[in-house]
Amino acid sequence: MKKQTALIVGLAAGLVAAATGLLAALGYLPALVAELIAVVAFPAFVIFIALWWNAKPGEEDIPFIGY
Amino acid sequence: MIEYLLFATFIGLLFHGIHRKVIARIQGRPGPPIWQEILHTLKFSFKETWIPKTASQTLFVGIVFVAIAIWSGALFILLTGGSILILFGIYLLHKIVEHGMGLSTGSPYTKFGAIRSVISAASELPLLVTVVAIYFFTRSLAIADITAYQEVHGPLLIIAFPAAVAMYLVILSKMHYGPFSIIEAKEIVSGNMTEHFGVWRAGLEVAYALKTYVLLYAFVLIFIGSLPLALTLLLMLLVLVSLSFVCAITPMLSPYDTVTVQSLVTGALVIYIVILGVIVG
Repeated sequence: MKKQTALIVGLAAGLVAAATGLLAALGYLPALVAELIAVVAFPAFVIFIALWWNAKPGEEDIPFIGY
Repeated sequence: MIEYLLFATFIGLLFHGIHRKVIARIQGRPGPPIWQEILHTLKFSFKETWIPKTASQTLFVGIVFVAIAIWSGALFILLTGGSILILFGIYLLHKIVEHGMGLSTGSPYTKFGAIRSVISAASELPLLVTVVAIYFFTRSLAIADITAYQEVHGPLLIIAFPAAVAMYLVILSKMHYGPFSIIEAKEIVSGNMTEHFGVWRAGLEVAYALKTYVLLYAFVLIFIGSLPLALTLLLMLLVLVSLSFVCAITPMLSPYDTVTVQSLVTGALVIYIVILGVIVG
């Protein structure tokens, strides 16, 4: 995975979770649906944002598969 | 929705820091600052991240996502006043996460941690009998109904004190540095978490922070009732400090002693439930 891909996935997950929460608060989406989306999106947000800032600039794949 | 999860993660990590600080002070050490676990999680997220060659790659990575997801779901169950039976199910899923995490790496240390996780399945028994004992009084397993019951009859902490003790033991079995923390004992390095480093460990720290927050919040909701946020957090902190005190003065038990203590508590609670059944009907 490239550094930029990690950033895109992380931000997308965060935005989806925030947007569905907002839509549920405004009454456009059932709360249960927003919660289910948050449950799926939050782990992706945490892990991919961490992978993004963890990755060194360059073309190499992350995470390193080695030892 | 995500704001609740971020808040719970932050408070959970802060609680972990307070837990370490209290243990250190009781043991006569200065201890780390209370925000240490927040820094710790950030530190891990900047560390070199790898997947061991011997690991099952999908399980190794996927288990971190599952760990965060199940405790995120548990938080929403509490917030929406859902069933404690689902909470119990999530607690069992966490056991599968612990086991899967240990088996996914191929390392002998993590496998020992995974096997100890299965041995310590006895820690789920007090939770099961707690659920039954609560049902005896409230005639419902929905948290919303349980809190409503307490508004009329007073806290279950007093009415069903043995059940509260059992739930306390359940939370104690999941605390770091506790007498029942056999899956992450130092003689097996970090147990089932040994090979999860860097971003993966940061993710697990987030999951465990959510777990601590959810378990303490569940204890307050189920045994004291629905209170304003500040008061709830204060009570959660008091429960945490008492747990830290127990962790500070109690050595880690051997795996078999762990199972024995948890089974004895379960046995005592079963007797309590039988007596309740005779008296309450």
